[in-house]
Parts: sequence; C-alpha cells; structure tokens
Amino acid sequence: MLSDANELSLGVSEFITLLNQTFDFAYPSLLITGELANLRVSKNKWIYFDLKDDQSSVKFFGTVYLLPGPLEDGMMLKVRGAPRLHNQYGFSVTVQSMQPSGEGTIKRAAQLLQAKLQTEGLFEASRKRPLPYPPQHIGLIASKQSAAYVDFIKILDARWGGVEVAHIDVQVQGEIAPRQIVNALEQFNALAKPPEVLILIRGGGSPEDLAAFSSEQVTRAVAASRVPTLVAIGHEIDVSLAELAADKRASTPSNAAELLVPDRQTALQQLLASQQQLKQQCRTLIRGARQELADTGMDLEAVVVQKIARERQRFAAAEQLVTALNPAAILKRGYAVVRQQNQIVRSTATFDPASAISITLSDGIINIEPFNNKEL
Amino acid sequence: MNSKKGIINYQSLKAELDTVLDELQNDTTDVDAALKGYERGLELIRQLEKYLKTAENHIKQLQADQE
Repeated sequence: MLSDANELSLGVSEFITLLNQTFDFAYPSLLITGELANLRVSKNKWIYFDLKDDQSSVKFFGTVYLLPGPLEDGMMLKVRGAPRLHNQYGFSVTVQSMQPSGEGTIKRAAQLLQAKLQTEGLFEASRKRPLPYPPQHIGLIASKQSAAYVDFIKILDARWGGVEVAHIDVQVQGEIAPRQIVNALEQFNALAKPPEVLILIRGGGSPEDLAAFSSEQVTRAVAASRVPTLVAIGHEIDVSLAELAADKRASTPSNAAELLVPDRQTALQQLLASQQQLKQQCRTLIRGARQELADTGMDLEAVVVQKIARERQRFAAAEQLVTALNPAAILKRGYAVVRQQNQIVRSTATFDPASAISITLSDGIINIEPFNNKEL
Repeated sequence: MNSKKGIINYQSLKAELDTVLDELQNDTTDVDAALKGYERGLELIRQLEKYLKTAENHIKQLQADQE
C-alpha cells in the first residue's frame, strides 16, 4: 500500500516549505549551547560554523554583524537561532544572536577582542578626554533595579547634589543587554543638548553576567561616544573592555560617583583655606609695600641729611679760610696798621713825620701827635 | 576703591617717588632742589601710606561682608 487517503503526500519543495513553517511555528527561536567548530567567514559578510558536543554537530549560518568579537574553534558559544531547512544546502540554524559561554571561553573571547581593538587604538591613552569636574548634567546608563544605580545616586547626592541626571534604563546582562546599552549611548549622543558626561555602571557578577560590557558592540559604542564617558563595571578586580575604551574608568559604581563630583564638605574647606590664603597674601603684600615705603623714607632723609652735611663741610672750609684771612687775626699775632690822615702807611716813603699817626692794634687804637722838634 | 584705577595711581605715585629719590642721590642736585625733593618725597610717601591703609581697610571690610 503506497498511499493512504489521509496520508500527506508532498512534492520536495512543498515538504521543505511545510517543514520550515512547522519550525517557524514551533521553534521561532531556540537557545543552543555547544563548542564552536569550523568557523568560516564568507565575503566578509556571512558566517558559517558548527556547534557540537561529544555526540552531535549542528550547522549554523548568520551574518558577521552578529559576531560578539573574534572567535576561535573550541570556544563554548550560546547561540539563539531559528532552525531552517534550505532547499539546496540542507539543514542549518539561522543565527539571531550569539555570545561566548562559560568562564574560560568568555575570558579567551575577551582576550582576542582586546588584542584586536588594541591594534585599532581604541584603548590609547591619547584618546582619553578629561571629564568636566563637577558636571551639571550627566547621562546615566544603568538598570534602575540594580544596587549599582541606587548606590551611585545616593553617593552622588551625598557628595555634591544638584547634578541633573538623565537616566536610560537598560538590561545589563543577557542577550539583549549589548543592543540596549549601545542604543542608550547613541540616544544620549544624538540629543541636541547632550549631557556633559555619560556614566555606564553595573554591579558585580559572574564573567557571564558582565559579558555585555566586554562585547565588541558596546566597547565600540563607548569608544565612539562624542560625549566623554565614565564606565564602572563590577568590582575592582573586574576590568571590562568598555572600561578600557572609556575616557575614565572607576573601580565600582560608588567610586564612579566619587570620581565624578567633589565632596561638598571638602570643597567648602578648600574654599575657606583659599580665602584665608588670599587674605594672608594681601596682608603680606601690603606689609611689604609699607616696609618698602619706610625704607624709601629713610633713604630720602639720609640723602638730604648727607647733602646738607656735605654742604656744611664745604662751608666750614670756607669759614676757616675767611677766619684765616680776617685782618683782626693778623693784628692778634702782633702786627699793627699805621694810618696817617686816614690812609694806611704802606711805605716809609709816604710817611710824613709832621702828621699825626694812628696805630691800630688788636685791642685798640693809639693816636700819636707829631713830634714838634722845635718844642723839644 | 576702584582697584584698577587704584593700582595705576599707586604705581604712578611709586614711580614718582623713585624719580625723586634718584634726583636726590644725584651729586649735581643743589641743596634748594634737594629740600624741595625731600618735601615732595615725604608727601608721596604720605599718599602711598594712605593708599595702603585704605587697601587694608577694604580687605577687612570685604572679609566682614563675607562673614
């Protein structure tokens, strides 16, 4: 019996169509975990690979844009996809998303991606921009339900306050996380008046939980952000690639708040200290100027006094000369001035024996009448 | 006190004082000129001191306003 009235009889293409419709209905999206094998990239656009375990192997097909970063055979991957039977190439799973799975693989994938992005210069110190300090308007990308979000806001308010926080709620783990984080970064960057700094935070977790922040999409989006970025993922020991690509890295979400704004109390104390210093400097300046003035006053006086003393010295010499030349002084030494008829007798030739004589000595004048020889 | 104008004023007074001092130190300056210079110098010092006093008070006032 080759056929039955109730039995389904199909052509080959019909069978394939039916099967695909059944797959679409029953398994529109499946999550399959396995070891990567035979990965190849075609025309820089398509990827083909197998996932296998110790007994089986399944073919996968997708686009390069779905790659979470550089991969190598032997890695454990978690792939979401839809099963499909191709009319020529047979059965494969069409990839919808894929990510490394398991601590070892995640680490290795991150290493490969880090090396690749490092070569491209994404982590260069020269790319790092300074963050505004303190900012007035920030963009926060975090899960609203997370402790990281609560801690960050609490510390931000306690330290500084008055910072305008625009928040985009995202999932910070799982398949959808990278896309949501990238969208949030792009959304903030596209704003007409974007925040002054973008903060991307997440609390601690397993390597798998934190994987989104080491994915190529998120790392590239952080590096491409026009707005400076501050990224804090996990605990101090966790370093994600997004943190390496950020302008600044904080060890924890709380530390991000501490780096972002100063402590109000400390700032106030510094301000007071500056005020004190300013006052002190002004006082020192005035004191210095006053001392300089006092010195100048002394110089001024000294110069004038010196000049007068010099003049006095010059005057004293003249005085000595005048004194020396004073006729009275000569008389004191025993000289006398002889006058006849009010004329000084300078020569015996002009002496008139018949005239009266006046002799001036130092202490007085002697008047002598002429001798009258006849009377004598 | 207009601080910029104040500084210019202070600087010009100070410059004049320096000139007076230079002239006094010059040997060729006679006693008459020296005495005039001395008087002018003392006047300049008085004005500069007044300026400094005002500046000091201004600082105290600003501080009081602050508190």
